[in-house]
Amino acid sequence: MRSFLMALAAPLLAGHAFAQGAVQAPAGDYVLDRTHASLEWKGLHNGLAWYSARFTNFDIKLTFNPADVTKSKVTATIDPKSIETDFEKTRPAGNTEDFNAVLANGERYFNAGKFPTITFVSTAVTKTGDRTGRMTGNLTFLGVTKPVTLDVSYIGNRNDPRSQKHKVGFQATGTINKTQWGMAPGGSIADNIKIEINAEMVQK
Amino acid sequence: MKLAGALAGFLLLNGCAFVAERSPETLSSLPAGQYQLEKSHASLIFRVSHLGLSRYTLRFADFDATLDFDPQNPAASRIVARINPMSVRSDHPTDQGWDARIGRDFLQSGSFPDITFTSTGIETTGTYTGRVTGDLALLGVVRPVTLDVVYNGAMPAAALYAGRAAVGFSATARFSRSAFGSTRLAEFVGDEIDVAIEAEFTRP
Repeated sequence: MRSFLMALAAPLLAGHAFAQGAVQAPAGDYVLDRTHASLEWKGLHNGLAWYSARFTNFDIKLTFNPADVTKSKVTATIDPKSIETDFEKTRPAGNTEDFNAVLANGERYFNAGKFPTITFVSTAVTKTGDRTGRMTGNLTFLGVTKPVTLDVSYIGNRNDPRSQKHKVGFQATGTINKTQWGMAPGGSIADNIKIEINAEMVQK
Repeated sequence: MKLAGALAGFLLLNGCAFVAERSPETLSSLPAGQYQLEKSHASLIFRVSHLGLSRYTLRFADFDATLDFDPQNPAASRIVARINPMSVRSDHPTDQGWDARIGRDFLQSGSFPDITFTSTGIETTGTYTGRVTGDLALLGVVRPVTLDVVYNGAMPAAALYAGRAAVGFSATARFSRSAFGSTRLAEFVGDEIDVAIEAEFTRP
């Protein structure tokens, strides 16, 4: 997921630089600033509200090509065991279930014992505006690889005065149908899952 | 579809629905009275610009809300919410004290142990939408904030909540933290706070 953002970010950044005369991020490899990144998902729970959770351990790599941002590449990996629902803080009194572990390891859910890593590898980037783009890539989880497309917005870029490295930031959103990866249909969470990634990337 | 219809019929015959229905009729068929937040099916996420680079994403894991709900006239409803400022979660990858410092230093939890929201006016803006204005008490300052609310669905008798009436909403809001006197680290942290709420309520 973070990879999505990065890939998107690159074309967006270039567009931004041209459009606004901002400093353009240099070509090359960028890595995730994990202290300024989030990967959330929401699924409609019994038709009532969008159940919200996130993965807290993930990584994104971006190879940025400012001369032709559509040639930029993103890869990402997500640890499904890092799912965080805050259930421990919100569960009814007396409930001691480790719901994070149920979702991470349950065979009906992320089945992390068998499928320990979720991956994304970008395959195509298009520009849709000065600050927006679309990134398509192959998302693999539960042993199934399917294409997904994320809408990406470039948020900003700057040279960090301390490290003298460039940073770029993105937001990416998208919707996937969990059943396409073999996750069981039905149940409490509806098939379409909304994803939102917010991430800063720093020059390697 | 026939199977789904038969299942729905079975559930209707039994008086309990598994998935909420989204219709004005379902909403108005709910019993009036006091509804309580289903904490494990609710989320309160907020985002703020970090250095113009990203939409830094946080949430509160401990909050509660009571809804005095008038399904015949939703505009006559009232809602009161309380948020624990020490329940900020940012999933910082290494700094275990990070969230507590946000609670103490940014939200001044020592002086203001509760953030509260008390509705002062509700208007319906469409079949499934409304606007809830209320007093937000933050950092000892009380200012009006308006939530844009979407009604997602309702169940007069929800199977997952032991037959209790249930209703679910999504809401968003934007406000300026400086309006509440918060200017801390303004050179790094933006002024606008974007809030995204998901909430299921049941009638005990």
